[in-house]
Amino acid sequence: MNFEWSAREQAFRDEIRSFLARELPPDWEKIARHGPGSKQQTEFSRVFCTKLAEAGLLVPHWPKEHGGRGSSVWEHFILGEEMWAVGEPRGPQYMNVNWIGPTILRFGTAEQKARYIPEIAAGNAVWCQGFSEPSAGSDLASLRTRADRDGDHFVINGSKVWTSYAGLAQHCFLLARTGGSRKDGICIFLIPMQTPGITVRPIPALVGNGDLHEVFFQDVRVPVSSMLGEEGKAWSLITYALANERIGLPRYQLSTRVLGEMVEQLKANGSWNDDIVRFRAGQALAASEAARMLVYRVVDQRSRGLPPNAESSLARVAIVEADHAVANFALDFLPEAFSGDVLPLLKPHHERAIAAGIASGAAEIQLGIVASDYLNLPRS
Amino acid sequence: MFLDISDDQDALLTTVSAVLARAKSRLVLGSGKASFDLELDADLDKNGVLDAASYPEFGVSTAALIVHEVCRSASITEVGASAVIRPLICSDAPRPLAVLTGDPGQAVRFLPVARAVLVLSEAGASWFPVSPDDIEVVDSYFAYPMGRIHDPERCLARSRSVADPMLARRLAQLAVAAEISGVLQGGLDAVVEHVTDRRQFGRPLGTFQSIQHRLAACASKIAAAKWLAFKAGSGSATHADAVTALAYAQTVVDPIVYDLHQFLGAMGLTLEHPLYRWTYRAKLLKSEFGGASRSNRELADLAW
Repeated sequence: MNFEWSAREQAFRDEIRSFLARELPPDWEKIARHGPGSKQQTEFSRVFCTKLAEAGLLVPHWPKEHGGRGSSVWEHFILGEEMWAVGEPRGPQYMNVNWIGPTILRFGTAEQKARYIPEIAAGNAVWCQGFSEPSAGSDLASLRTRADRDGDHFVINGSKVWTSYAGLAQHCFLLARTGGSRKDGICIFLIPMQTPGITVRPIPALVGNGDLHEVFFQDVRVPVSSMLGEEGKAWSLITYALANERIGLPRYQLSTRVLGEMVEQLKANGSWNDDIVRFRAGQALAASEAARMLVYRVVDQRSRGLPPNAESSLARVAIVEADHAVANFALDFLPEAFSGDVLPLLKPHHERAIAAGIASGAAEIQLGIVASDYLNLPRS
Repeated sequence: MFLDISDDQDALLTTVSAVLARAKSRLVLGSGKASFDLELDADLDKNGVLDAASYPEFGVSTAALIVHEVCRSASITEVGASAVIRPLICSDAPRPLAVLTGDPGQAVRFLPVARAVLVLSEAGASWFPVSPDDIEVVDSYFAYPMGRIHDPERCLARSRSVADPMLARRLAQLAVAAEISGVLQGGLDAVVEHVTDRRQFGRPLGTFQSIQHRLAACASKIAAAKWLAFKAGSGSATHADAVTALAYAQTVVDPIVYDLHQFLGAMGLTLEHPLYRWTYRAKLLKSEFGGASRSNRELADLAW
């Protein structure tokens, strides 16, 4: 066991903090208050990510020939921690750099890499993921959106729902079915959102403006060359992509940041002397640190090249509990702070917390994975 | 970072496993709750595993790992204070050790078998030797031998101060955190085995999703408690790390113990099954250092 950061890792973290101190504008937190899918944050993120890219900090974990600097798994994770500690100013682009880009790099054709990778690496691209459907949420393999071959094209018909960032995205990482059932017959298409036949409708939501959408595909013609990987064999690619996603984001960084800011407010208003307030604050902090340890354990396994396992789900469960512990602390002791500009990150934290147990595989899916693959409980 | 068992630690755990296997073969269930395995105590001592914290290649994290593994066993012995605190704080104190953190006249676990008592108070830390004549055995509701010091003033008069009382307190908090993660893991192991084998409604209990999800939630909490304790033993760890581990572990005891007993049903109410040997250790450990409420407040005070 070794719980220490290496000198190189600490230097990398310091480099990111210096960058953030230099480049994050004073009004950033007020922009973040609009939510990660908002027009304000998306526009901010385009400019911010371009600067990150110029500093070599947008995709440092990518190969050098694609704009990266060959950073380690831990360094990639440190980047995520530092971004979350300030409220994730990369906005929707975290998806591009964490799993859409790496999946295209791993499975894409030369043409696909040439078309999409440079703009992701430059910080100019906004993608959405066309996964969930009205009848396929946690049970992703039941998706119904069709892709039917017509000469050199596929014709896509169907609909997606709860799609984050779709209103402002240029591209969609779309799952559709050319045949088969369940995990067989699913394909991935990389398609421009401006393609005729795509209609995006925002869904008013608790998780911020512009975050959730319905996306309708009506006779959308896309070239065969837009398919990523082999026809009907996308499930293994999805697994690869979600393995990068499922570890869970370092949400505990934002949670502990917001918790600390709340404590300052509670000290200022005299509530900090209350034993119950301090008890609950300690409890929320301990839950956040518990999540951190389980996430670190997973990152360590990945850094050693070990295959993904059920410990990712153990960590996701802890992350959800920690997010809710901090969000509930805010609701109990500082409900008035959700309005106004005193704690601008409180609202986006809350919005992320209520989605934490649902996005990227519901918490109950994670519990099921822990039961079967970690505890080895019998299957029904 | 390297968050796994090293080869050296693995070799040490092999020794621990062999010692615990011998203890398991001696285990007699069905009688009193507080039986203490003196042979296990001697076996651990003889094999040198209780000294790991003092060796640079192992350190306190390894001691926490040993405590976790020993407490995972249904056999009851004193390991937390002996493996985590004694090597660094009072290596000349005879063992087993009892740790007194509150009123000197209170009932304390392990006192009937202890040969020394470590006292942690606001004023500092010290230890004094004890003999059976100093101790009044207390009927134990918990799965520990419990006792009370007859004449605390006389015993405290022969106490010897320790050099670093803050380190002693920090290590004691870490030791309890590792003990909690171990006893909860032992209980979970037993309940998983039970719901895998036990059939009701024509199928194993463990196939019911209501049981699966709650045990999975227990597993996540126990894994986190364990790694927080290990981290609190690392070279750069702070007092806040130890209190984080303790506060988190004490907080998760209640929901986990409830679920473990629920899923073992009436079997878990008997002394024929060893579940009480884990849960009735956890129920006492959660009150150490003032309990989860005080530990969480201490964490808040240290953090902010």
